[in-house]
Amino acid sequence: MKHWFMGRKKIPRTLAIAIAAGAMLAVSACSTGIPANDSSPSNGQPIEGGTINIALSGEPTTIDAGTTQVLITRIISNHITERLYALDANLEPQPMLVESHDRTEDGKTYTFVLRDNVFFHDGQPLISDDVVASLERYKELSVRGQGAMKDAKITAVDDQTVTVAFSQPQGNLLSALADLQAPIYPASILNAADPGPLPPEKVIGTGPYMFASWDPGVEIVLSKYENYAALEQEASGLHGKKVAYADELRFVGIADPATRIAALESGQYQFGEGFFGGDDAQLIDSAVNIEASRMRLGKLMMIVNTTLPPLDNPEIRRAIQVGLNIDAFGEVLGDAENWNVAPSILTSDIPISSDAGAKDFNGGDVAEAKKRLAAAGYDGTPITIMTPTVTATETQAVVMQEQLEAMGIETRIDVVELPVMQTRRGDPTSGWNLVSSLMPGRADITESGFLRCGNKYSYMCVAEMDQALDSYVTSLEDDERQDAYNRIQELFYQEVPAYLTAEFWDIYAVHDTLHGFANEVEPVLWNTWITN
Amino acid sequence: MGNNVLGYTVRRLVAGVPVVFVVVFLTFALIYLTPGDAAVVIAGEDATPEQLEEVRATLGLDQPFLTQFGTWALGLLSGNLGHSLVLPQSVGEALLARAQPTLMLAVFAQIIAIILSVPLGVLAAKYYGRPFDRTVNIFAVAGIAVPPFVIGIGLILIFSVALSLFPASGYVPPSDGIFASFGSLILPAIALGLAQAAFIVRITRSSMYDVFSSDFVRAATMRGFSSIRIMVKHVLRAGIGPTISAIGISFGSLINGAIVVEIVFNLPGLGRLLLSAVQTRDVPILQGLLLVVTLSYILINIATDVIQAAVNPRVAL
Repeated sequence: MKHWFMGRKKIPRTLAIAIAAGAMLAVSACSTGIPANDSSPSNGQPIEGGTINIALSGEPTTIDAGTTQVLITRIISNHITERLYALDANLEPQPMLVESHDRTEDGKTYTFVLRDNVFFHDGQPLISDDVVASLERYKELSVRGQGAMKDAKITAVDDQTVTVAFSQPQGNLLSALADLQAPIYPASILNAADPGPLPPEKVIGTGPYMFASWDPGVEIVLSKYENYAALEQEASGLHGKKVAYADELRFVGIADPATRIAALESGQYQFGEGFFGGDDAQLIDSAVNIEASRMRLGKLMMIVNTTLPPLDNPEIRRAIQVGLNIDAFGEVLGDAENWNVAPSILTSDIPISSDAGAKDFNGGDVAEAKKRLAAAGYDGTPITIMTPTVTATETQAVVMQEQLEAMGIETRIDVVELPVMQTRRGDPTSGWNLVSSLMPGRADITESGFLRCGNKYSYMCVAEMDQALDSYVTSLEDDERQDAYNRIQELFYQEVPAYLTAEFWDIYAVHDTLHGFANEVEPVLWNTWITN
Repeated sequence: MGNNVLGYTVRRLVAGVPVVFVVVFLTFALIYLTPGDAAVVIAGEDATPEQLEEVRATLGLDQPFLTQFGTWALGLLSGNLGHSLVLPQSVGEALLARAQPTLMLAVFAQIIAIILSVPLGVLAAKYYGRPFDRTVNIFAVAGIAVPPFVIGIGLILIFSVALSLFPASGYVPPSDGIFASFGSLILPAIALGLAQAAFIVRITRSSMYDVFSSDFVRAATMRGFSSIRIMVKHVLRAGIGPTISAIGISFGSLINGAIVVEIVFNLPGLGRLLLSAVQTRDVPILQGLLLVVTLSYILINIATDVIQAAVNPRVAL
């Protein structure tokens, strides 16, 4: 691989640079020591100790993953907290804090026996009261928890046993319990907590790393939890044996992607997050000592405000679907390895994803779209696309605008800051028709907040859709759940509560001094070590 | 002059009070009128309207505008700037923690700017219209035209990535080693200082040229004084006024420039704090920052006037 900077012939190592460098050499001898890019191998043997420096795309507002799906929070929280179940490399839920479980034949009651000798970072043993308090919180705070555990009665039978009982069969509970928004915290902390996220010092879990310090604007540091009760099974995804080889994980928010990549390339950081196709991918691919890791697909989409003209008319929504050329949304993300086009609501890497109901997807038939728009009585009402100030969603908005205008629909783009978007999105009367959104990879259809009547970002109430979602949740067999998923997707293309555009790869950058990194499920740094 | 300076400073500070009040009141009003508040950021994207209201009530964001502003202003009178809505810190702590990198960067950048610009400006004026002057002019135009973040990224690519001489990002406080601290600031200071130097060099060149063309300099030359003596004792003293003003103005604008440079070099300063406070609608932090920025502008102006008066007796306070 050619070094990207030196590879540009138009920027030679000129005399001027050499002179400047020479002048600076004297002072730099005394400056901060930049870790050398030590390529000395560890012979494949893990090395204990040291600090893994992680460059995040920003500083999170919280490290409590129970209240948010934001990736930078999840990346930190994954190392501190654990859930009853954890997704393995095949995205299947496997028991993590649970020794065994039992489901009654009618599928309405689950009994979980907790693992023995698991301790929180504050020394308290994990008991069933902690699970009850944590799952009650999950049921309240997350869209998926609200769906999967709607009428769940969670009871502590004894210190090691918890039952979860439903009025209807529940076939998808284990997957919900592996949800990253369902971390298990001590009941003593949750019972005394204020509304909203837990303060960082209260984010106490059972994971291989524990919260050490947060210097706002500077760094968040986790330290190795010496009493971690590791599983014996081989590591796979978020499941299995977790070993904290590094003494510390140090997370630093670096907002500018070019600086983030440069800092990784210079060896200051060993792992970086928050890169997309296009410029970022090119920079990483052309660097000599960092590798791109394309781990999980996410979805870009335009969520439709189905209450505001002209998109309150389902005929018009379907007409637009016919005219959209989805490949064009992918092409703006750069090389083909950075994106994908698939009609499934869940990303195409999820086993249950399918192309049910998607006959009009990626048709790109503008003439047909115009014909159908006329037949649907489209009266020229313009469309407003709202997008946050995020490059990926802004670009998608521009492509959408071009395609809508080609269909004869006057379109304007409203670029707003994230808090403004979150507020206006919750109010469908605030003058927007489409929201350009970026959804991280989801493992379960009930996490999609735009399908079920009454969900915060759902603007339609379709009884059949709610029934299909219920069937998905209550199905006890895989093929029944697949049928329910297919039905949800058929209704999705019939009602068009959103336009799916491109799938994008979340790109991570791994420095060549970081070893053992597994490109599975979520970025995790247990079982990894550094050579210096 | 001592009493004059003290009286002048006090008068200017008192005159600055309404300015500060108007700035913080308008900012408070603008943020209040903008959709989205810290509760939206804190409660998370899945929060129900009820949960949002609960967080809002906890933070006091459900109170009427004047109550919220009044609470903040009363706290200010007792020296309490409040607590951040998002960070686990009081506003005072947050400002104090972030002031050091920004101040260090601003001072360092200004030193670089002055060292570069004043001699170059004076010499350009002396050799007006000649190749040296033209070269300085090219430097000045380029320095103004190329934004600091471009210079910053260029410096990172050369000195951090290609040559591994300095860290690409981050800040080391002087307490962790003076040389390490210097190493962490040199590239951002150059990025910021070059733009300032370009501005100051143009002002210096222009004012010095006027002095070089004046009769008393010609008279001094004809009397056989050495050119160094003429430059130091006559030209500089007479022509330095606009340069001092330019340095004052540019020092004030360093605070704005620092926002971009702090982001490029990931320095945990006031600029980055300001940006994150806007993004998360952290009103107490925003108010505290504006108070500090407004006060520093007023103080820089006063300091500039006082230095002008000290250097040039024709200027009265």
